[in-house]
Amino acid sequence: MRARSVTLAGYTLAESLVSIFAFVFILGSVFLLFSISYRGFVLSQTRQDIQNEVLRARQWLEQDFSLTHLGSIGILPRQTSSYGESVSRDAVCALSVSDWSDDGNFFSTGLPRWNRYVIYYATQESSGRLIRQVIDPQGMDPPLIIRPYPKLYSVQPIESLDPTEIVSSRQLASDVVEFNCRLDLREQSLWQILKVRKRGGRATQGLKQTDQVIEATFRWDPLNTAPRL
Amino acid sequence: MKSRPFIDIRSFPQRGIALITVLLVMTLCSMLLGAFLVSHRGFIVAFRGGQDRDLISSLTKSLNEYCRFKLEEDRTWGSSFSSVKVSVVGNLTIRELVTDGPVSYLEGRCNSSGASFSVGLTNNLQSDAAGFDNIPPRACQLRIVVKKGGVQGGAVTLLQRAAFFDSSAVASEQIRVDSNYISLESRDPIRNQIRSLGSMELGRLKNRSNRDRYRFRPNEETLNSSRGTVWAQGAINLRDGSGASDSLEEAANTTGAQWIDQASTHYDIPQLTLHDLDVAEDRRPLSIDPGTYMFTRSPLLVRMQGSSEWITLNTPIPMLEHWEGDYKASNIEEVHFLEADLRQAMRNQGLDPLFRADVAHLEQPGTPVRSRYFVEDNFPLQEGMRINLQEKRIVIDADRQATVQGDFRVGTDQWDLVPELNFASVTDWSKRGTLSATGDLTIQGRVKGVGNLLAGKNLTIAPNSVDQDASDDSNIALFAGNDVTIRPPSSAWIPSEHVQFRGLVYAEKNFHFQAGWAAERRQTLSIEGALVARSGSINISDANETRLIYNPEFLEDLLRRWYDERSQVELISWRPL
Repeated sequence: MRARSVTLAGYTLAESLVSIFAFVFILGSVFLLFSISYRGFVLSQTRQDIQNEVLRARQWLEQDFSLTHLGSIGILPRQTSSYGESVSRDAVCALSVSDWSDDGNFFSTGLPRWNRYVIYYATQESSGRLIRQVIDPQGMDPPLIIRPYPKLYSVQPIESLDPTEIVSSRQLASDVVEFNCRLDLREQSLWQILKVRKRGGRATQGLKQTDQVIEATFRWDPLNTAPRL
Repeated sequence: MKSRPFIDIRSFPQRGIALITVLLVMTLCSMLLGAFLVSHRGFIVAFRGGQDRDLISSLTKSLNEYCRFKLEEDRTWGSSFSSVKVSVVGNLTIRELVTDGPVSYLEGRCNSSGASFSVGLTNNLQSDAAGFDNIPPRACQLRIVVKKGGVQGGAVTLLQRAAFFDSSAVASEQIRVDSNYISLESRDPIRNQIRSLGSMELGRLKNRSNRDRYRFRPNEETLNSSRGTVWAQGAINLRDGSGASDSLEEAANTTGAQWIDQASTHYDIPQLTLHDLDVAEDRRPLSIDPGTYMFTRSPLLVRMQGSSEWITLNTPIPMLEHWEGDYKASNIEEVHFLEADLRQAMRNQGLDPLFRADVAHLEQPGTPVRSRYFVEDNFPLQEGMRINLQEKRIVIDADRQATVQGDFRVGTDQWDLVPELNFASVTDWSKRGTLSATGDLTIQGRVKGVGNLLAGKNLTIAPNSVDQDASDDSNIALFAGNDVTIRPPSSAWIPSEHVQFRGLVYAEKNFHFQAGWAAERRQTLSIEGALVARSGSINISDANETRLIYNPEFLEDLLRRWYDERSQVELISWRPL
């Protein structure tokens, strides 16, 4: 009589180990890929945030400084320390009008009837904020004469302006490292450097923490400078 | 026997699994992409919007420049388009539409970006009155609308004819004004400024009487935000003789004007030559002999007919001497006097006044001079030029363009005589007389009427009396190829206080005003128009008041040809849409 043969379905130890290693390898790769992608995503998100802030700030800066009179631009140079280095955190002002679409804000000659000042400044803390304020100066009846806002130089710090003069205040950007302004009288233009730096998490490769930095340089030609200086 | 593949795609269930797997993968990919886009949407929108806004902003500026250029070519451009005209300028296709109403339109497209635009153009450049929609005189309004995608933008801009000289005083070198009061005034709607490519010395904010030295008076009818501008590429010093000074910041706060020193903006002072100045072509030429025309009172010598003896008439006779060259006896060319005065002097001497006699000048006793004596005063020296001995006046007719090949001088050697050069055009300001000399031009007396004094070299006005009431009937423009010098009298007895010019005062080199009687500082220098020292300096000394009044209308009188040919148009205001 022949013995009955039985086939046992199973894995050898070697097969199991290989399978487990393969599985761990694949899973690890997937996690690594995910981790890298996630870090990249976080970085790009951070970068977008900064770019959005800079773009938003740029819109306001362009609107205010392209439409002003060169003679009304005043710059208060200020320095502070950020990330271990000395940086500019200037304050800058210019004349404006309350509503550009209002005919009442213009003289018969076509020149603007200036009735507001706008002030931009970056706060002095290590990670600064870019602030835009619209000022309705007390005791100065419109039309305002063409000169920088006098209190830009007399009120120290500029953050402590009389709140009754401030029509509106808006934060345009955070994590500002540098806000540098320079008047180029030869070209009759205003140059501004806005540098923003955000904690961006770890880099896609390695464990090193990286910051996202954007430095934008703007040039504005004040179009309502008439007559040309 | 055929072996079966692990997955037989021909079997229906396995094909289904494959399809589902593919769909799952695609769905996963789509979700990933969607998530990416959603998370980036804000940025993409902002970025694209920013790009469009940049494009619209650039295109608006380009269109403004295009129109400005066209208006400089032809100031009537856009007043009325009679036919559709298409032009391609760079990437822009611009179509001029037929004008129907007070506003003309351009339409077009930017070929590279696909942006479309329209420009509404209200041209009032040629009019001296406000135009449609209250467009200011001599201005053109542009309403520029640009569309790109869903974003629309643009601007309303105002362009205006630029002035030839844009300041009440302008110099390449120093401007120095030593005056108790300095008034900067303007009849121009937007400008009230003085400019120096060098430095300025102007005195402190308070004068010796502790009163405000500076008075800025912009055009009150067209108020704007600027009281005035003092602009220099060098330093602006507000200091007195002791060295004490005021800062420009104090000056700005006190006066409300802009004080700009160390300016680095490029600035040109246009150069004029004698031939550039406008002289109407219908003026008849008048050629005047060069030399000195001297109003004086002098004894004459007479030699009665048939006698060889010269008799000196003791009674001085009012006369006009004409000298050529230097002021010395041998250069006397002619003397002019009234016959009645000669006869009276002869009668006073016991001579027969009706007797015929030769006449000699005291300085040339043995030589009869070319003498012309006239029956009546206000006699014509030549056609278009009359002499009034009683008033000590030389009158040049308004319809004349008088020219002198050489130097021309009007003067006197008598302290109590006040010669006058008069352009007989008081009643009609459109008729300007002109006296031009290729050499030096010197008037030792008053200049009145409406006219131009043009000197190829130096121009000097040294009145021994000055315009007493600064009345509005004088309108004199000065031009010198070298220096302009004005030196009013210093005698204390002279009651007058004003030296006044209306029109362009142009010195190719320097302008000097030296007021007399420095201790009292009683005289006012008033220049309405523009004062230009193109390559030199402006130096005003010891005046009580210096009034520099910018008035482009007076400049146009003299520079009309320039205004027609040089049609610069400048941007005045920019309003966003």
